[in-house]
Amino acid sequence: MGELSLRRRLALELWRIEERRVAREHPLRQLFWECTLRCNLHCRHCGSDCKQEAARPDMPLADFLGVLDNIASHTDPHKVFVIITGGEPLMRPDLEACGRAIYEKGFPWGMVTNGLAMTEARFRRLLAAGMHSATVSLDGLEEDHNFMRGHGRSFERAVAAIRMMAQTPDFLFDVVTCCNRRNIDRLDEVKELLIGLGVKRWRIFTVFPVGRAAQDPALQLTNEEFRRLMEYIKQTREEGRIRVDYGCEGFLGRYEGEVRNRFYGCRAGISVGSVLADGSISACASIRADYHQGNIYKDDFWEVWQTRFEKFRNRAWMRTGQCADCSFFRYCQGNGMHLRDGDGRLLLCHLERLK
Amino acid sequence: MKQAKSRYTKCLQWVIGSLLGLLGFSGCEDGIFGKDEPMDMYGVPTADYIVKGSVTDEAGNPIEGLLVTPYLHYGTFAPSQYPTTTTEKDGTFKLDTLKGMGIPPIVVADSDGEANGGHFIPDTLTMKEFEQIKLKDGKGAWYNGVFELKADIKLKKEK
Repeated sequence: MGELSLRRRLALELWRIEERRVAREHPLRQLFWECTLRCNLHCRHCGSDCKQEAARPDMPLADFLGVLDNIASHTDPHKVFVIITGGEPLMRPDLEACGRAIYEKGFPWGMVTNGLAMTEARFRRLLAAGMHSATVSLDGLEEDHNFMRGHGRSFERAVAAIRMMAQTPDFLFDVVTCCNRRNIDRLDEVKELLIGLGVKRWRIFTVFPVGRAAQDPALQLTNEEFRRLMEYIKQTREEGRIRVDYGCEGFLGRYEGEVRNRFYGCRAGISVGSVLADGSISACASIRADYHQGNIYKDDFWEVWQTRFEKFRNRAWMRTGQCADCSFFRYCQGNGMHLRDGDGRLLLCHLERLK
Repeated sequence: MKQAKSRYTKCLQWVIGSLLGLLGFSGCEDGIFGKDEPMDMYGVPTADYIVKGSVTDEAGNPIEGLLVTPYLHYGTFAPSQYPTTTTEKDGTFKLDTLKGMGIPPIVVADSDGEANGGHFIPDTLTMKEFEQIKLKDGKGAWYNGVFELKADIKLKKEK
């Protein structure tokens, strides 16, 4: 097992036991709802297919609520966290009504937002509608963030949204930063900004070659930069002033247990499901290749969740190509589902980047 | 069976977590057991509601046989989630334990035409129109306890 210490290897073996149990039981715990494909930004690294005016209309609330009723008749809705995503959820004028209806059905909910359209009045209304959490994107200091987001006021608005959230007692949120070649040297300044704003949780991810980012290799960190990022996260965690995690993707070898609060495991289709804008039933919203398992307009969501998703729950099929002879496959299981293209080929190996 | 399985799972998680702790991965222990999962950070406040009422006509006579239904305002609730009932001879009704962060509007409607005093115009009551009495305290961060909701309702006859 090369660079893995005995201690880490033992821990990973224990983790595998738990991961296999969860895959067997596949309890639905997080449900993404791609409520719109419309977006008010045009981000360079977007993995979504969103546009200012999407060709597809927003999914009617009633259609999604039908899915929630279906889920609630089989499992405790309090244990299924609905994450509203897009596009940009704030593009929906009825977002508060959506949130309230989800909440009234007993499902906790949160949202992912770029913050551009988050006014104080809207934030208060969303809180009143039962919003429990949010994730706000901030990709660096003003110049870097606006460059990534393609909008001159996006930094200012995102910071204002973060400030409102930080000043709201008991509101849980995190800030997510896309680390790229442009902002990697200024992460420390971003960290100080976030600490100053009162942020407690920070998540850093790296661009993966899907969506617009696939055509923009300049956003991809070099291997040396990626290693530097891992060291930075590790040191910041040791420092203890803000909780920082690397995003959920990628088995990270010797950094397992050091840069995230848990060991690696892709829970897509295991405890994470999604309803996409066209009604497709899938897993996490980052998966852009067609691994859809059904459609809410044709299929019973719960039946699909219980009886399909084979490719997600048994990943032996991923053991091809560079994964075929990899001794870490037992822990990695072929990396995240979102890093497989439509033909099942691996788009990115994090371990390779750490070499 | 389900409870035994849940106990086994918890026990297994405890053992794994303890071993991970011994190996120096206490942060992962939190994650494995879901302390890091959204469900354990967030929650939906819930309570149990027992809905009671008494229905009379405008002259104060009790109305029997009215259908009392929590209004399924988003369309496709599984019917078993919300029980319905009918009023007794003395016009009273009781809906057992509705769970949630509130109750849906309650619809009281005639179901037997001209029988039992004539045909009445239905009425819909929202939660704020009920008197609320706390019967039992809540527990933990998200369970608010048991409440009794009471209302006296007058229905008008259809002309």
